[in-house]
Amino acid sequence: MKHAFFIVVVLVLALISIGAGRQQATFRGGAATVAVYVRVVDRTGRLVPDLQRTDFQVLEDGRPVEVQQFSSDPQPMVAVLMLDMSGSMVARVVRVRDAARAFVEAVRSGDRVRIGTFGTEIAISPEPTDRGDALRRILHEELWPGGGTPLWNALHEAMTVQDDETGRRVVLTLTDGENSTSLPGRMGTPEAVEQKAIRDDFMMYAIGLEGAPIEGRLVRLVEQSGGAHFELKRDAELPAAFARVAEELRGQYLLGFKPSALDNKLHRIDVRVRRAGLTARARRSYLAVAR
Amino acid sequence: MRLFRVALLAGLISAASLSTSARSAQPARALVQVLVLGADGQPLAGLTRGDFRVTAGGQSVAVESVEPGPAPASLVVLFDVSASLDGNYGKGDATTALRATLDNWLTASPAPVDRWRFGSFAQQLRMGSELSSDAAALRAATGAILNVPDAERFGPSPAWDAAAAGVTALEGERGRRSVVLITDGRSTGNRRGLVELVRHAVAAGVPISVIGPVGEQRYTVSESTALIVNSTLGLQTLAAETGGAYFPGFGRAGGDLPPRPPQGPPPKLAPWMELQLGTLERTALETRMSYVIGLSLPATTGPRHLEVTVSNRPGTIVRAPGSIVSR
Repeated sequence: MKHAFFIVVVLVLALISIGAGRQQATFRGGAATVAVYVRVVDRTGRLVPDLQRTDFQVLEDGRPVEVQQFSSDPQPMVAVLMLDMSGSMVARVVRVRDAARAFVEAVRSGDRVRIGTFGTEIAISPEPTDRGDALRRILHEELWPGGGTPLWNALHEAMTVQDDETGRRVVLTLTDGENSTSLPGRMGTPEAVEQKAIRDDFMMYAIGLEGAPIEGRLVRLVEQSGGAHFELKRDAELPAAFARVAEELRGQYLLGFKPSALDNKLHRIDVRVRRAGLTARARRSYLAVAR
Repeated sequence: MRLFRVALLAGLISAASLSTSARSAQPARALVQVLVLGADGQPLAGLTRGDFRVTAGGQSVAVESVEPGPAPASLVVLFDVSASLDGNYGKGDATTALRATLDNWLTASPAPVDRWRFGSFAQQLRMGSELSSDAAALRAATGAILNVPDAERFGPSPAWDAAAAGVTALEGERGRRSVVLITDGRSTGNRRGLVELVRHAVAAGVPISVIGPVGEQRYTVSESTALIVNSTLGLQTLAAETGGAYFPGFGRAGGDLPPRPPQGPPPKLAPWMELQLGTLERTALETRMSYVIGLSLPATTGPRHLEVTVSNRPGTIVRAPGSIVSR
């Protein structure tokens, strides 16, 4: 018996141009201020937006510190959306492209967003932008499936291109599997990625597609960095996952405190909420860099 | 009976997308590079002003002058040296083969009347320094531009940005000009999109010809589903809209990749050697043989759909930009 044969044609043609990126003023602590981005959820997992400075308690190495700076204003997104385009993504490339629009739709004036892919090559848009039309053009023109899954190379590159950005820097990666290859000449062992993410304060998010759990090492890094990971039960949940990440990035609080010592050592951070039933998620450590 | 359902997921570039216009007081003169191929597929010489019929934005346009070829050509050739050209295996076979083939071709000396400039692109664009007719200088330049480290080859393939740089490099040159883009069409990491590239090339009056893949790639998704990745569509559109040609010169068409053997060399999936570098000579010939026609445009500025035909010559093919901008 013959089956219906469905063919999806991927046409990759342009819509518009990319505009020059704009610098957005963001909260930034002084050289001796540690910035911590915090999301707070209630028991149902909903984001809680209306907290005050006094609702938070921050512990450094187990000792309370004074929250000297506080903002509940939406923070601009400085992010790289990294899409797995390895050969195993062939069946999902159209769905991923369409779903990624949900993330693009959440981009606002002042955001600095790039889109990247990894597979045969690692390619990241060279200019961050807040222009949705420019990002949609990339989704339409520049997604090409093929090759292995150089996940750690890709994460390292996604951080490196943001080295000169200020404020909260995010890497959101979507993948259907574990790292399967390392590309010649590209940087990014798991250890190097972990070190860079913690040392340089990157917030990592990860989305694992249906039937493809995110590898444990990445999950641990995501949690350590204060980000979140989503294991999809069905690929159809992908647009909602993208929208959720965007919502989380908008709904984070920014706390600042003075470090106890600039000793080039890693210090534990524990952020708590004084209201019952609420849970705070934030990075779990920072490197006290002597400047 | 098989049911073929084709979902078109993005729009083709159309003349309409380039047709914003504004009023201007004075008629404008424009020069357009036009190639006419006879019924035998060879460049047709000897045409005069009365042979051409031109419309811009649907309105008849006066042909004021016709400068026939042959005349020396200026060509910028841009090689995609990114890893995707190696058929997903990324061993650099394509670039190695290209270097050898190009060296042989330059040794045989292209027509010395033309000037060439070579460039390559992966993570970075590398351009040879100057337009030149000197084969030795060109060989030296290609050696430099094709010496690309792995870290760059496994990075993005900004074909649109590279082609835009090629157009810019020719913008100030007089006479017949062409950019030749050699790529698999898997363009990534661009600052500008395809539409913007077309606009730039049309405004500069520089045709872009493309040597690209022979066809689409079909990936089996399941027993009943396949994904067709057609990287030639954008390339063909780019050539057609700028007045260039599309040459299916290399690559593989059709089926999925066979598995890479655990040891030993990968199968030869990217027959870069199949690249017909003779196509470069063909592009040079066509550029040389192009006419440059002078038009008096109506008092309107902005891009308009352009149509050029040749009267009383059955079987001829005219290559001209799909739109025109008064300059």
